[in-house]
Amino acid sequence: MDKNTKFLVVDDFPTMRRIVKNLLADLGYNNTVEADDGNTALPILKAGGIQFVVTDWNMPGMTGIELLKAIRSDPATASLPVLMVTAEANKEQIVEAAQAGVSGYIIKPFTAETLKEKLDRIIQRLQAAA
Amino acid sequence: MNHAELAQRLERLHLAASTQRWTEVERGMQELEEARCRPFAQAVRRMAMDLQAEMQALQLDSRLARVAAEIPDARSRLDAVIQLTEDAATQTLDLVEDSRSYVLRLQELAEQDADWREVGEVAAALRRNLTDLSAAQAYQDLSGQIIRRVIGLVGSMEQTLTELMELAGIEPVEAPAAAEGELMGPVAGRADKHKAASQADADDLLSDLGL
Repeated sequence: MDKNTKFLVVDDFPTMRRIVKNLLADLGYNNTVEADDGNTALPILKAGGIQFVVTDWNMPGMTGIELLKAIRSDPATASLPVLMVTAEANKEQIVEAAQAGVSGYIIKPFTAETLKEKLDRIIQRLQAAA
Repeated sequence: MNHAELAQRLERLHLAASTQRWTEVERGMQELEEARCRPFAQAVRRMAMDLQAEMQALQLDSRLARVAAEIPDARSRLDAVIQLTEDAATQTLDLVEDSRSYVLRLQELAEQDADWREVGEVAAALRRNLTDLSAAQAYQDLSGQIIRRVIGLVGSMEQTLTELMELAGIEPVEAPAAAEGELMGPVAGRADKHKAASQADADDLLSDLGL
């Protein structure tokens, strides 16, 4: 994927946003913007230009699953890749995210290798579909 | 109050009502009610006194008061742990980001005809960052000590509550399951382990669902 791909990283903890941002930078993706929950993420998405969303699940205000559903229900963003990075490890939750149309699911804490593997896989699928 | 006494009182009430002496009827009714409730009130009062005496004998009352008094302190200790870990994470990320720029510079220098004095300077800066990174890990010791104290308090709270329940004859129950849709947060401790999926489980589950 193009190294200029614009990522939106959504997490209520600044530390976690910073970690994800650094890991993305290590993979060569330096174009990232941040939001601290779904409510702040949506206007950024509406403004356009975001090509990949990495979101936490449990956030005050609008949660990641609600954000995912909002993204999928808006034709302008419906096909955006959304990678969920969350501490939620219940099977029911993973299934719920899959049914809502998540593109990948990473359980925190995670390694740089896991992030790379999931990103590559999502990108591969996108290219296969294109 | 035996049945004969009850019959006598009712007869007097009936007589008063038939001659329309309503104040007397009201008073009689009230006395009757009080007389009938008295044994129950006495029993409750006796039970309360017994419970209090037993609590005093086991020093449960003073232990309960002490535990309650320590809860605000425990809360502020846990807040301090959040702050400690947050500060450490921020400091660590600062140092990592700083070191990253030094490593990039080293890579640049390696590609060119390296200026060895600068390589030495960058290496020294990286070494300082490594020392600071190591020192920043002191948060683990500090937060560990604080959390251990709070665990102690929760333990004595459990002990006191269990004894209180035994005294009051309350049966222990299983911890309630999470409500539907409730988020569980990070996997923590034995209680969570059996229900939680690992990344590999999650991958399998998602590939079963066609992802």
